[in-house]
Amino acid sequence: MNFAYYPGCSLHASGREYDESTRAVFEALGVGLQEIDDWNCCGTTALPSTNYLFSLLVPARNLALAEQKGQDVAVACNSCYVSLRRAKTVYEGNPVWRSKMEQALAKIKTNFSGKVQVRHVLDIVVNEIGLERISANVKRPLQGLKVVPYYGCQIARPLNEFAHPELPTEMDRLLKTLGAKVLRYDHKTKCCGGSHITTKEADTLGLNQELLDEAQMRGAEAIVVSCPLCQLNLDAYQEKINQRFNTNYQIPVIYFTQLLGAAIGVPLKKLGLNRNLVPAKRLVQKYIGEVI
Amino acid sequence: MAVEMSAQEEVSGEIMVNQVMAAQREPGTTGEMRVIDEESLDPEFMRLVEVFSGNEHINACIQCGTCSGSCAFSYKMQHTPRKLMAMIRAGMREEVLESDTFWYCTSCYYCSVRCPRGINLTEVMYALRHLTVGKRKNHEAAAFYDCFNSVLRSYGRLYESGLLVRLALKTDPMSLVAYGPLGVKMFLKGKLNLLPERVRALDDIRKLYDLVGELEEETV
Repeated sequence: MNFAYYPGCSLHASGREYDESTRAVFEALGVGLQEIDDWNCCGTTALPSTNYLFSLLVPARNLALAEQKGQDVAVACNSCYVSLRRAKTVYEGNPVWRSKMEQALAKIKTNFSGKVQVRHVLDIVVNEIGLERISANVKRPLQGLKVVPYYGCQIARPLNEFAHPELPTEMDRLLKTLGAKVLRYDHKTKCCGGSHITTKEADTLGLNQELLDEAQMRGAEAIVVSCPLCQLNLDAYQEKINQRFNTNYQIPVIYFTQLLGAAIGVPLKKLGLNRNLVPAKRLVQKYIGEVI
Repeated sequence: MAVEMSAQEEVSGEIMVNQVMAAQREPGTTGEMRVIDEESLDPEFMRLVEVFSGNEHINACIQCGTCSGSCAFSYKMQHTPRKLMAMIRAGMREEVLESDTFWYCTSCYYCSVRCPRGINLTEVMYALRHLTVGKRKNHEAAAFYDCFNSVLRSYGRLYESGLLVRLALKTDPMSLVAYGPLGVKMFLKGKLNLLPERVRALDDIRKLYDLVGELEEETV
């Protein structure tokens, strides 16, 4: 099994530990990830907010690069996932814009057929590698670790092909397979506000306070995420939320790939657990028993 | 929404909701009936929104309000998503494009997956942002997206530090100071790049940008 890997900009910066743990997990499970050479930003929610056609062309260039290699795309960031799929969906379903996309891409000598598949890393882990194979690889179960799975919005909506748009279960099932105790989490697909943290900070901190509030109420020791924007808002801004709302949250916000890696025996130093701002390493160490 | 709230009041949802409701009863804000001059309406507006949102029948909206009820920020918006859909359909181009509604959209797609008529409202919100280009007011969210676009054309990838600097220069230079403490923490964790990553085929990306204006004009 081989994929063209699209890390996206966040995974080269604020979400570096998601990149590190994704690569380490795929290597340990024997699934190939070849980073797309010279990939560009997906445009996220910003390009559709400035120009419609440009917001389709920019992600389409990445898809075309993957197509040239004959590989389907593996993407870890929820926002990149939507941007890439959005370009492909319009290309496939809207003849008017498809022809504009073809004309523009031809000018930069890029062929794009739209055949390439775009898969989220969580989808690949649960539905391609499969939970049976994961289960067979669990060497250090996270027995009893109490977690809430937080999917965010863009992994399941709007072009859901692998997860329920409001009540997905993929991460729940994966974390159970790793031995964790998965708690009910009604906010699992509520929005974290994404990039609004920059321009509407007060409102966006409010959304994240609600997410932390339920996690604490359920007794979660960690929030498990699949998106670098959710992770940034919940983790890096947790202190600011505490100041603003007079709360005292200290909840680690951990990528599912970091926990998956820990459970299947990847050395912790390869999982970037030092990078989470609310300390996460000691919690994971406590359950798997590895001392660094 | 012309409601001033102290930080403390904002924390309390109950006080906030009461104030919003009070504001809605004021003349000239949400909830007041008035007569609209037909001359001021743009009969082409709905079609334009459809073209740039990939929706085929905005007219199918039954005004059920599922979108507004699903939206995390509808309580902050000048017009709720449901109302905005009615205004688009009526052709109230100027009022729609001047509203703050679509600048609050987080692109979470709740409204879109729940709409019983299959309208992709998130794409409608994008389309409205697109249609304000060139005549945007000093809206911070608009400035953010414009700066993002320009960073993308400079490097081909997002350069977060550069984006924040460009945004601050365009809005409030002092806002950079507030990012200081968090920026240092992120840097120490290896989560902040001081220098941008650059795409080799940057010329291709810029060429794509130069092409879109002409191609779009043919479509509309």
